[in-house]
Amino acid sequence: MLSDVISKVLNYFISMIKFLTMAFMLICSICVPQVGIGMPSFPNNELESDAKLYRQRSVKGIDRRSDAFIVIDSDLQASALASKSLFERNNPIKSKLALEAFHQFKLGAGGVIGSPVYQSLYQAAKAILGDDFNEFIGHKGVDIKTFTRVYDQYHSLAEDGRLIIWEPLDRTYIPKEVSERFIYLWKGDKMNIIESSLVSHEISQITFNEAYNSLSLLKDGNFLQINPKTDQYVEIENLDIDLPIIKIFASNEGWDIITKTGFFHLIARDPEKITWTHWPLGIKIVEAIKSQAGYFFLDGKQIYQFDDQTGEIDIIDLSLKMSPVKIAVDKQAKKLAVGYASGEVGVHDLSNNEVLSNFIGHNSRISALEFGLKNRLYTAGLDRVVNVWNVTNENELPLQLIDHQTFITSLFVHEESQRLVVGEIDGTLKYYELRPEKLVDLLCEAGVSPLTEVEWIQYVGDQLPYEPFECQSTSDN
Amino acid sequence: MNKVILRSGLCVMFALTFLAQSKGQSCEQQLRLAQQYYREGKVDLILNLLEPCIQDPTMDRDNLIEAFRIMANTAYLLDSVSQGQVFVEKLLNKDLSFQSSDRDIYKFREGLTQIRRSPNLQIGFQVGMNFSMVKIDDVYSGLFDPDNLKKIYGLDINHLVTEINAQVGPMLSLILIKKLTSTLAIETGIGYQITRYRLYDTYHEGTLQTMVEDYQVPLLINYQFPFLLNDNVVGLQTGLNLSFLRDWRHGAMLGTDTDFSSTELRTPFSFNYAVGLYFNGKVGNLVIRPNVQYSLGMTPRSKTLSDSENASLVYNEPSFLNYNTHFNYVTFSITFLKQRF
Repeated sequence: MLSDVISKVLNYFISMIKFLTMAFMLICSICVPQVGIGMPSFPNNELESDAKLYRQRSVKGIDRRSDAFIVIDSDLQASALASKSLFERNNPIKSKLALEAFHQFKLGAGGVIGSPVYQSLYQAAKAILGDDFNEFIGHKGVDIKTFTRVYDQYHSLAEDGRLIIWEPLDRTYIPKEVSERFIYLWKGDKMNIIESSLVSHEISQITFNEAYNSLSLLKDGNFLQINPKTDQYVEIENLDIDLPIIKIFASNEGWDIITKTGFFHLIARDPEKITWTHWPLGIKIVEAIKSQAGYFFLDGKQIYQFDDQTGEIDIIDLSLKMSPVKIAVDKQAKKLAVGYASGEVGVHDLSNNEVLSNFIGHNSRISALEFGLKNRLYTAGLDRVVNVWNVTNENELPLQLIDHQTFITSLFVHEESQRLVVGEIDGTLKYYELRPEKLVDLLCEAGVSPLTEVEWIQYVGDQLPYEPFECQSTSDN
Repeated sequence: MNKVILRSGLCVMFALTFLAQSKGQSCEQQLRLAQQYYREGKVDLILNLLEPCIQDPTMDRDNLIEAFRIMANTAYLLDSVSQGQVFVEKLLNKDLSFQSSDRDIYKFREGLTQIRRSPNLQIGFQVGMNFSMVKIDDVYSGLFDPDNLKKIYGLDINHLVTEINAQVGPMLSLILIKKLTSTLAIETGIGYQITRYRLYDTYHEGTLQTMVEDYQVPLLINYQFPFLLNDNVVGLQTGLNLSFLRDWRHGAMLGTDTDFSSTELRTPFSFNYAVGLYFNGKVGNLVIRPNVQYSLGMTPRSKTLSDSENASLVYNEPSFLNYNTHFNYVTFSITFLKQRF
């Protein structure tokens, strides 16, 4: 008897709690339609990570409730709208909000676009155009060794020796595969594949000089130099280099080949005149880059500058931290960036070797570094994040590109087209339009309409006059 | 007193078991942490973290394999190829049939394929059978009519073997294969083989069973084709089979009472040129190698005899031996190999 009473009372309390919870949720969903209590239920990990990103990067003090947007600062407004776009699952409103965020950003201070606004445009483009809208789909499960742009084409050589030439078609790139066992030639502006005139070779590295002569390192350790004008090729038997080759660079007269312990200069004008010059370096190179100021080598502890005319090698007296793993020098050879195993990046002034700035934006090893124009520094880490930093201001938050599933191993920046190509260890190649206007164009081409007045009030608020973004040509191409 | 010792012993055993178990658990936790580090790209922390665990004899086999996998991937990722190879070798020694997956990086998968193709050492047991293939080039052909003449060089001819039928004989070997390069290996070992023949004597119109017992030492070079068929290998082999005669025995000839014994007609030591084809198929942690090999006899006789001596031996005994007899045979065998990387 007593147990029945207790059971009834408990059931009554449980029903009451259920009812109150539902009522509370209903009120919240009416009053706070987009966020409210149900907000943390992201549709997938991607959105969750975007949300996290926003939470980390967004300006403090913004309440995510709609009525908090009365703060009339267009940058904050833009960030808040961008974050709403990122949280939004409904594609049309997601894209509208992303465009409006961009619009508010432009109305505001402008300058370097922040992560939330860029991310919202990027995610909206993905939602509308498909997950692979910015991918070069061809290499699978294999790391990319070389990625270069020549004219409007790209070519990529993967670890498995597979070479793909990417030809533009509308906004995507179509792979034109060159079998791993064939050599290709450049003829004038166009690339031709010569399958029959050459013996089969497996390529493991390839480099071009300004005349588009190419030097290929073959998997058997020998080299092949191809002259595109004459279609002649020179097979160069490699008797001199028996160490792992770090990199090959084109030089004025021939090719510079950097091995783990030495520097080789190769000139192969014709098969009868092949000359090798060798400078032993006395260090164990793990990374080599070429700049206007000559070659820079990293041996895991120190950075060296090498003069390929005299063969002199000097230590650059920099105050380095533990385990430097990547280096980059800007176009003018004034700044040197060092990426560390810890994820930090230091930028040094090469005129006095002083530290200009330190960037902390990765939580694992730096895997790629590249300077760009306008004091940009692109860094990628094994944490699957690409950061775009402003070298002149270490306090400025970076633009973060986080749409990567596996380890990032390479970066390629093409300043002219303002495009960044990011290579992952599983062969995924993604390009990012560094000008957000291009993403805006993509959304507009897809027919994204402006926010309606109701949506404006709902998402932007009634404190601002209804002046939504309307698509027009924003890119100057 | 005995009870005290017993109790103390039990306590020590219990403590050791507990310690071993807790160490194993700690390594399992280290492994989970390493997996997390790998996912997060904090690869610089992994090798030091797992190094003590791979030395730990109490570590579970599956966990150990996973530890080697992560360490090898990490080493390849950090461009430490030689270190990566060492971990892959250790991994394969634990699990020969390990299969890589999409989560493994390409360099690891490539390293695994290469190392799997050419183990450092293979030790095994070979069992098979041979089919004798004897070819007689009779030096006396044309000197007499085998149906009518019974003399040659003035000697009476008692026997004339005109037909030899191949018989099946068994063979057993212990095999050792050592890697030379990624595609070449040297194979040797020690074996025992019986080659059997059935002779037909035209003059006596009877048959005779002959059985040759040899100890064999192969000296072969194996070439493995540089591709894998679902992780299995196809290869060619060539070289010498050294034969040390143990015994030469005849059964009684049907229709005659001749008891033949002429071990000197076959050299105690002879060698064959061998050429073969094999397929290494992995079954669990063993490799099963079906093999077919053709051996061509290179040393037919121990003695250089005069014509009359030769005729006396060859034709007065029911032997098929003469100057140019080739003791050839084909061997079909299966070898059970244990590979070490």
